[in-house]
Amino acid sequence: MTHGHLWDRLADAKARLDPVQSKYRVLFENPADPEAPASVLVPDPNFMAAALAGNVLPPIDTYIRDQSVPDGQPKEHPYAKPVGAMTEEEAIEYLVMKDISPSIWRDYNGNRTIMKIVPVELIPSDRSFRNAWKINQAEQEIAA
Amino acid sequence: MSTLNVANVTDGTTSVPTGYVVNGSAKARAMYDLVANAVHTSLNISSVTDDGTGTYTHNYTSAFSGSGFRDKVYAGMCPGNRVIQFTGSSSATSTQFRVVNPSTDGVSDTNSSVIVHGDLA
Repeated sequence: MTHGHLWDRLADAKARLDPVQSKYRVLFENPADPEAPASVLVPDPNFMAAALAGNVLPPIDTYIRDQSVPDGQPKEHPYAKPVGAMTEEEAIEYLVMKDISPSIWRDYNGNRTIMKIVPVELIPSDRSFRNAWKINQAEQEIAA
Repeated sequence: MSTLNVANVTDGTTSVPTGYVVNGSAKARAMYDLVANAVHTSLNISSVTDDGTGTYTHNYTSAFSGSGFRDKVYAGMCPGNRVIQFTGSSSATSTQFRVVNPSTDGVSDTNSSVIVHGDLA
């Protein structure tokens, strides 16, 4: 039996799975743009539901290989055989590798902490100075 | 999952090729609350990245065929007199938007919804 196109599986999963709001967020900074504020990656609830259920998402290595495929050229991930169920923590790691540049999660060799996975409660609710947010470098602290 | 393999769809009076439906449906959408930092409704979105005041990026689970205006087209809405702008940062797998108040030309944090049409990879 064919597994079809990824978008078809996503539409089917959205129809049958309840969305799951993650309890995690990913803070990251771009080392190539040190003046930019820290970014906050927010997992999508339908993506999380599909990841936790399994048999919807392709292997993460297909996304990583597709990053070197020029836009407009055929991609591997939409047609790859789906992987099984993940835990929430595995799904967050999958998202980090999929949606954050490898220059941040894989290749950075500096001393500064430029990425942290944190509970959603630790993201500041006061956005008055949002464009000044940076990852706090003190141990056990993540306030902006 | 069952598959209907038909060439045309009709309401009894008007008939259109199935391709009109397949090609005409939105391939991604998201309602994102920048203040609460949460995605509420969505399709084909893996995550949304909060990049700063009024600025965020859609990351697509299933990539589009390309990154340019011939590959994707967007429409969006948000409360009040604000508008959603495309920042110019786009790839087959992501698109960055910002919410702008045209009267002040300043960006602002608020809810917004965006749909994306185009061809998938």
